[in-house]
Amino acid sequence: MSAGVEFPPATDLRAARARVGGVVAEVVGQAVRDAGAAGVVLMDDGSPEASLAAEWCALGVGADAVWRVPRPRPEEARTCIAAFEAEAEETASAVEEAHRFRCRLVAATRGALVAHPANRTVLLLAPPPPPEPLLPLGDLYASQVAALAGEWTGPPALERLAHAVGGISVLDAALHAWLEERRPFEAVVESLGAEAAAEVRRAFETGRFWRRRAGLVPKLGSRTLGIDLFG
Amino acid sequence: MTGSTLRLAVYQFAPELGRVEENARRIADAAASSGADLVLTPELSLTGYGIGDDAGALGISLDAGGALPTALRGSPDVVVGLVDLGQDGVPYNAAVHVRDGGVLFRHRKVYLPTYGMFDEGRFFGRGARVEAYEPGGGWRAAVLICEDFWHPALMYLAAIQGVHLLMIQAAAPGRGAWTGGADGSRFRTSEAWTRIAQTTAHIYGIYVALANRVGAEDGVVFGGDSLIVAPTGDVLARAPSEGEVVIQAELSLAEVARARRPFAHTRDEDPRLVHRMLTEILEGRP
Repeated sequence: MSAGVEFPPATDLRAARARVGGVVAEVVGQAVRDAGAAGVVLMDDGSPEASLAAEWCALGVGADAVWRVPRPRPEEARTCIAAFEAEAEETASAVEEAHRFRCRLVAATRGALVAHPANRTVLLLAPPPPPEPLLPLGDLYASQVAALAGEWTGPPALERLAHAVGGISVLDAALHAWLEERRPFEAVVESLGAEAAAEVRRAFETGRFWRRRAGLVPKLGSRTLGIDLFG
Repeated sequence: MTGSTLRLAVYQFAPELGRVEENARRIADAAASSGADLVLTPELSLTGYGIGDDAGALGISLDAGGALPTALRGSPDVVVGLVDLGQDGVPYNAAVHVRDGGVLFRHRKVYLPTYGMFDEGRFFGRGARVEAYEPGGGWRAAVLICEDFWHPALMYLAAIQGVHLLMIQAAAPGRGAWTGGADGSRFRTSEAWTRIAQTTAHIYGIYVALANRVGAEDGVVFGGDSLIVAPTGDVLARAPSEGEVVIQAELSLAEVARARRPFAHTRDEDPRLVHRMLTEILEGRP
């Protein structure tokens, strides 16, 4: 992708936030009703995008039916990890699993659905995607989330890839051109450079199995995970 | 519907999935309070859209005298969307004009989208006809369902049967909320529906009414933006992109005639030429 690509496309961010937030809220509200749940437990990693997801979930089910569950503190995570898998190291993924366990416990107590604030770029390129049943931001690219929330978060490998190609908006523009606009991979992603293209291809292929079993993503664009994007 | 004017209402509705009697009751209530002669509702308004393989269980065997929901018995005329369980045992996605609790007219959806996010071909049989009918007062009307409206040949078939009013039922998902529509609508996809409706109305000199649903099912939010378009192509009434609402317009046969008068498109239309050319094309003759 050549430099100068503008992604996300220029738009009135305030209006976009209202429109997109309304759609996400409607889907979350309907999902909670369909599941007979009492609300939403949000895996809150303290990021701005978690706050955005919390805001939109609250719009759908009411603020008092959204429980933001923070990451366990290091000593809590250490205790949890050691209790269940003595050989496990205190890696980022182990801490995330401890966080997940905590959320599931809260959800079981409250009768709620668990939501994860992962964005679309993470779901596409950082497999496996989170297994939570609700992915409220899952059809927004990282750079769209950054435009709305101020920043985006992703695993270090994805951050390195974005940095290597000139920024997350360049990476997202290429993904958008390839997936939404159905332009040939060779024409858009390979223009990021051979190494980056290989990394995108590898991550995308690795995630194929998981994308077929993803949680509910509110449909915003033309190819949504679990609705019309499976492969 | 006894005179040359017709008060048409479009009920932009969010049915509850699988709750036929409840949906029928809400439609009947809206129809009664609208004061309209005829109320158009969205695709599968009695069942909800994503019924999957419950289609058979939710179907009504119209040809075998299957009863419509009791709530519709005292209702003003309504065009509802339901599953018509054929005598062949096949469920059809159908639009039914209900009058006095019975069936005045039925259209079975011809084009079942089975691509992208759509899966209708797995669950429904395909309709085989586009017919006009007479709801009264000298009016001729036809009904198409959602994807049918993206096949211009079906609009043509309705038009050459002399319709004054083409009603479209839809369960069209909203997409493109990031940018929104250029006309200020919530979804970018609404623009295309509006363009097709206005173009169809203008070309054939007919009223076009579109009832799209709202609400959410399985991650999809339906796009609303229901509308009623005059034979001049002008929008007479338009619903917002979200929320249940009834929109209305007074339709008149005189307006149909007036809109056609400056042109001769409808008068000069030559279906025999189309028939001859289609025959040649389909039979591979030059």
